[in-house]
Amino acid sequence: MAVALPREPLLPPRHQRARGEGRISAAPRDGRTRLRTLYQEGCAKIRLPNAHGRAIEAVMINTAGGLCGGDAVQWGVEADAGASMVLTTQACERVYRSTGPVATLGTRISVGADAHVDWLPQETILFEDARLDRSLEIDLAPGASVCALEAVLLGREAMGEGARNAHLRDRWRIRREGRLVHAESTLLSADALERDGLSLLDGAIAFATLVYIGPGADRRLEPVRAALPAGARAAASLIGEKLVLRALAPSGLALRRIIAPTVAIMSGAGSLPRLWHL
Amino acid sequence: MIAHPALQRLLVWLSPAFPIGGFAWSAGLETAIAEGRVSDSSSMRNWLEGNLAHGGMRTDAILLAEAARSSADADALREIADLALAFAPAAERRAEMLAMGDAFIAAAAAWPSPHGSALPRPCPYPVAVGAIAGAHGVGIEDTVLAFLTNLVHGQISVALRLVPLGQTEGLAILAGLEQTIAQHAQAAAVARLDDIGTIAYASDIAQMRHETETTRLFRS
Repeated sequence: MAVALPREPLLPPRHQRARGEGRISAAPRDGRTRLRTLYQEGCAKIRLPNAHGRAIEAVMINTAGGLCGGDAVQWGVEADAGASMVLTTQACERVYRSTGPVATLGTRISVGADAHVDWLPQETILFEDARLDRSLEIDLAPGASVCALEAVLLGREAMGEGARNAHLRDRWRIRREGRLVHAESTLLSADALERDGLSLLDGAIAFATLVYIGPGADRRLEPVRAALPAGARAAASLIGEKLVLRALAPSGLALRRIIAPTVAIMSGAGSLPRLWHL
Repeated sequence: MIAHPALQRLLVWLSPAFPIGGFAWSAGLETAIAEGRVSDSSSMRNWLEGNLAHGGMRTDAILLAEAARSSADADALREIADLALAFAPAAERRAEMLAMGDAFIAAAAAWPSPHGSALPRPCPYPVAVGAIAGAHGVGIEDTVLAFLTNLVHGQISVALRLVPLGQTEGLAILAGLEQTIAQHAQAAAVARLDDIGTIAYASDIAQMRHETETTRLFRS
């Protein structure tokens, strides 16, 4: 009997590495945040859906439809003093197999005095043998706040793939007035212990880190803890003005069920960007 | 062979009896045991192997080595200390690093060092150990080896009380990890800050959850 198997989409042969750079800046005007500058080049596009809130909402799109080895995408975000911005992606970022070079994804965010930025990209999906080197640099001026999320799915669940040979290096550096206040150096090097170790991923195929830094971090701790779904492998902790949430999950859906309510509380927006839905 | 004063100092500074209060902290292991994730000798060994290879112990070992290389440079030490604290995802991890670091500096003051004033305060534990050992000219790999052995020993002491494991079983884990610890010490001694990388989500979550546990024998 013939069985229809899900197929990987056929990609055209690509000899050219994809390159893209997108930059956006915004400033407050008349009680709302307005676009100040927009720059896009190569496969990086930025769309501004009609947002009715006080914040400007920007959607980042990688028109190459995923990242292959050697691809390089850069995002730059600047929120002027008092501005409020929400950034998300149109879809999950797929990172395809690479036999050689790594794909790089770099983001720099500068948050002016008393401004706020939500950096809420949808999940990154690492395919088998994917190689991704990602960095996130955030600079906070006095009174500025940021809510940043990175969620990773290991392999395509529908394919029963665990992406055990995927490589990931993810480096976050968040500074307040030049002084380092939060850092992450996440590393997956295709060692089985990383995936199965009881103190490490412990068999989970989805994980996420959500960070809020700024005024009012303390008021968010208890509501975030209360919003965690029963039985979820996730927890939050508060250190000064920094609130960190870590989550492990057995599926992408289970991870979204942790992220959705906690992002809504931590970002202060009360809801997820509209492109995020369960 | 390691020179006598260096060996003597390492034996004292990184012994469980050195007065830095190491016995009070479990680094999340208490929660992992309470949740039944660590329940016997083999799960205990797995917990430790993960943290040595891809978790906080490896990060601390690299921070220590960098601090040892920078022991006379106050600005560099402060940057390493900032990085150590910035990596802490959980309040109790930060508290543990700072309480033990400051206690280590106070206790090690019995061995006057030429660079005592270069230390940042408050000072995370691995940075304090690295900077002071470096200032005394103790070899970096020897220091990392002693540091990791002491950390693993401390975790096994937690398991002896809480799993509970028998004394012999616990020591067998330590003996069995000798080679592993030595390999990690050797690698960390020459690693740089950019080599730091972890995936210790389960360990971090356990440390965070420890804050809300109702019964706690340990401070982390």
